[in-house]
Amino acid sequence: MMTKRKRDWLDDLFDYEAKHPIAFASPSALAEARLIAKLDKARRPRRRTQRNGTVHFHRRRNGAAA
Amino acid sequence: MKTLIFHVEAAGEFRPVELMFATESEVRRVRAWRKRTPATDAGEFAALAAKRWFYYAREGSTVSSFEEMRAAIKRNERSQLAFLLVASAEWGKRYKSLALAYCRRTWCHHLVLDFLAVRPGVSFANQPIRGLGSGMIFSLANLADAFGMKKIWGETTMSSAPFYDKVLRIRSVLDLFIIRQKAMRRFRERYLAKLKRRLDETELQMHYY
Repeated sequence: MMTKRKRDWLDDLFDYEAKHPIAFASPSALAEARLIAKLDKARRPRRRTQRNGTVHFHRRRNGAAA
Repeated sequence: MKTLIFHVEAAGEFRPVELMFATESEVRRVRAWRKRTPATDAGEFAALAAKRWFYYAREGSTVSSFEEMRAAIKRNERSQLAFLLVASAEWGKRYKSLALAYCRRTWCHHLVLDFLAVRPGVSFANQPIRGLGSGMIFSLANLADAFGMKKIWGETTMSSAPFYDKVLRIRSVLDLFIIRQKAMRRFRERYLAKLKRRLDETELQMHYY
């Protein structure tokens, strides 16, 4: 007959993890990463004109056939 | 050093998971977590950890393997290095990455844990995969040991402090956790002892000794 294993520390840990999502960030690392993301966004060229179709329109008119 | 392995419970069985240094393509893959799991902390942290990795990569301060890290330290023993560790499993084909840890090696050779995240909703055979978070900490302790690092530390928050409390059995973790060598050894021994009750001898020998 198989004996049932007694619950232990690892079982408790696994249960805890199942109930609480593991997604942790150190506050200072998070602040730095958000700043980097902001700087990155500011540095990236704006794509507004492409998104509203203007560029494609001009490309078509000014010789996309070329 | 052997690869970093830990075991998780998936569909009622204990299965091995490998923790590896992320290369650029893996960091890009981790960044995409946010698209698949929007509005989750894990998704946001994955994207931000990736951003941070790319930022430091441009400065040449990231490493993508054990060897690179060893070489970087050999070149300059005061070097500050960042790296992303990604957990993946052959049996979990649905996901290329199950969890991540963004870490830094400080100028005085300590290991800092900045981000720890388990991919939301990871499952196997329609059952959740259990034990990824604690397994990641176990592997970090193994990594620190392999590099002779005397301390692992990190800032905590209200939500992460109870987790570190439970994993490390350190009394009252407040806004900082510090795992010194002795505590690291104790934690690894305890984790292995509990695994011994769940894995057969061959599996243990193959991955942990």
